[in-house]
Amino acid sequence: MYRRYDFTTPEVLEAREFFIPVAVEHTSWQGSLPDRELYFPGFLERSGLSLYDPGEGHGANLLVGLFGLRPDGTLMKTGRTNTERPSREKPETLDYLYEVAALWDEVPAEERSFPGLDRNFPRPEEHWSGAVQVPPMPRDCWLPDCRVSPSNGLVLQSFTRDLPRQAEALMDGGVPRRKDWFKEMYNTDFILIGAPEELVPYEPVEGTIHEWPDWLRERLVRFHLVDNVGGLTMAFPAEAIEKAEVFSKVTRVTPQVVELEFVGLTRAVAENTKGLSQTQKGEVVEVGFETELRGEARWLKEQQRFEEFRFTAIGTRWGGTPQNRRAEVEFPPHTNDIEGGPIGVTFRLFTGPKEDIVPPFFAWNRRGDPDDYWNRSPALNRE
Amino acid sequence: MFLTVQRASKTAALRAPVIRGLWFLHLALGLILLLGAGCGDTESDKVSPLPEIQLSAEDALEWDAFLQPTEEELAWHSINWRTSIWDAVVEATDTGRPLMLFAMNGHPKGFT
Repeated sequence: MYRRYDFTTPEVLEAREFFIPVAVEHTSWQGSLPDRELYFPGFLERSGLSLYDPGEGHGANLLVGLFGLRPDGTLMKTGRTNTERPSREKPETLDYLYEVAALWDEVPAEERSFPGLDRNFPRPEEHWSGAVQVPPMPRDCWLPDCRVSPSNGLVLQSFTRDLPRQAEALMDGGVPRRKDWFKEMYNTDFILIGAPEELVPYEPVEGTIHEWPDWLRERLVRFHLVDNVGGLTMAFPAEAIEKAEVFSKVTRVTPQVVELEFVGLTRAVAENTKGLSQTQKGEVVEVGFETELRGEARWLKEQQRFEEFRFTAIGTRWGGTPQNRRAEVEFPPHTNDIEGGPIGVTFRLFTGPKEDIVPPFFAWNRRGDPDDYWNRSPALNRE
Repeated sequence: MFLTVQRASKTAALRAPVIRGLWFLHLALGLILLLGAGCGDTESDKVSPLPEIQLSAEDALEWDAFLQPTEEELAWHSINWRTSIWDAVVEATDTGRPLMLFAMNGHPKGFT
């Protein structure tokens, strides 16, 4: 995710225009293809992107990053332009793009295409459904023809950041435990709500208070109110939920609209048994996320959809995962910034193009359990 | 089910006083049921106190603004990242341009 910051300076953006840019979640995409040769004969082999099992240790880096490719998949150059610092100059990225462009200039014209490409290959129904395990049965709605799709329901985009601190926790020697560029980092995710009408009281009257449905409160607390600032974090198991109190209150009703405010309290606590390091086993740490939540929305009665929707959760995170321990020094564990700090997550109605919507992180079949994510039998009411 | 019965019997009920009387009985029962459904709160609609929280609406709005990415941070979004590698390959072939593939374990355009 740090490579997002590679593409923030005008020079890099201009250089990038020479290419066809494409962004994928590589392993889910590759793993979901029933027959890779059906789509791109030889592409994955020529690009070096054949499914790779890293086995023990951290081998995934071979498949992540920037890849300058010919249309037939032939790899020209891969770039290790891991620019962690959001606001730093990007000479490595610019140099890399120029190098790939120079290599492309040397490619003969007859090799600048994909001769074996079948333009009539069957495209997936949704642009990302080939990259995520879409459940075969309808989820998240009651109608038999409902699908897990951004075409239905409510799509929100979330942004997560650390909030400013009054004081930084220090390591030995007075060095702040939290890497300074964590102060600037943000991450994003999407949440798809297939039955948004369940957030509105059946017969809305000003002052009515309506609790969000169990399945949505659970989904929010387990999968979206998480510390993902550094990416690749863990979801909370169902039993980790300590509080998931989220309510809509009707503030105004007209013949056309219902206006709501949202108020909530959430808390989830679990153990991260996988430790704080990707390459070495670490100690078990407690991970927690606790928030207060406020927001507002505007529901259109006739259209049965939200015209406006926003809520913000402010609170505290503690513990860590390999990507989110925030520390300058990985070991010993006490140098990690795991005692806790303020964090915020805000959710807004997504109004961009449908093509920009990607599945929620924990709905990807390699990142989480899609059945668990889309489950409408919430843990909140389980025995 | 009540409404279906209501519609089905309405025309016949207008022809015969006896049937009309039954129709009115159905109507009365139906109205009672409807009023009961409208007045009765579902469990989730019962008025209950909202949780008391420190976060005010004004502060939530300010934090929302803070949490949003800046224009510079969103600059990478200004790139028309194709999310379909299949379509990107076709486009690269048609335009004679190379591909710049950004592959991550987690989707680059979403949470990674």
